[in-house]
Amino acid sequence: MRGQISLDLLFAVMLVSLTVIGLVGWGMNQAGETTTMGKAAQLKVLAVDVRDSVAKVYASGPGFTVIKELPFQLKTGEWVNITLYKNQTLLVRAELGGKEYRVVERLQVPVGVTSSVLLLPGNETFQITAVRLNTGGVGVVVET
Amino acid sequence: MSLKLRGQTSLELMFLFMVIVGGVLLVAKIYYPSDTGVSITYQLKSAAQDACTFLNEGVVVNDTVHAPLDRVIELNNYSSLNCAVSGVSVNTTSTSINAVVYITYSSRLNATLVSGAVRDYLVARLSRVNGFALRNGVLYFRGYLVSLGVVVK
Repeated sequence: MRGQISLDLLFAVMLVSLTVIGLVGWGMNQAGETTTMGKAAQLKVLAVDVRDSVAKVYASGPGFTVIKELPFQLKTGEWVNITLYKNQTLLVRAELGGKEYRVVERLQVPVGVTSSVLLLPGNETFQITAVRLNTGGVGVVVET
Repeated sequence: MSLKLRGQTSLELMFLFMVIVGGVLLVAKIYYPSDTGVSITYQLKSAAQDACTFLNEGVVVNDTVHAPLDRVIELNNYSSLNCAVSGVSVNTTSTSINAVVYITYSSRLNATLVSGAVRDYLVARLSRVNGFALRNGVLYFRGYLVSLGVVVK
């Protein structure tokens, strides 16, 4: 009798585990793509935020600084690289969760010089500062 | 009496179950092709919506699945394509599945470029989903040949 019961139980366990494995597999499939999408959205928001901040800092004039913090936590091995280019473009590159992301935004103001900042885990704040250029104009730089 | 007979009953019960399960399988098989159609429709729709989400986000993701979309995003200056999935049409025959995904977008980009990129993304994405297989560049779903088209409306 005992043997019989355990056989029934075995069948039941098998059926339940098959269902669970199927559901977990399907769920993981959906989750992977959604995570990538979420990270991409966060980077886009960051890029747009930096772009707008650069315009504000430029308008405020030399000496004005805005301190920014990454809107998300970096894990070990992840990094975010923000670069302002002389030709009025902003590039945000990042490696999050083993995938590399890249966003480019057109800046609304001329920044004058190329500057770059690399954000690593535990070092997630950066500054956007307006400076006086050698040519006499106003420039904007990013720095840690 | 008790022990022997109980074993006998359980054996009969197992045979009975076998017959019942066999009957259920026989009936279920009739509905299987339509289930294949429903399943691939759902998978295609969610994958196509993801493609549009990536195109609208305007963020390049450097990996093999997203590589086709990256070119479109770069050519569109990383701005939104206003892409949307307007419909999915799936036609199942005995050996193949004819699937067409309809998308709309507003950009000056060439329609063949966008539809080709979305199609490449769908193939790369679906070939990793359980039930799909990619052989010699042709997509198969549960043994059915999938001829996939993307049309810009």
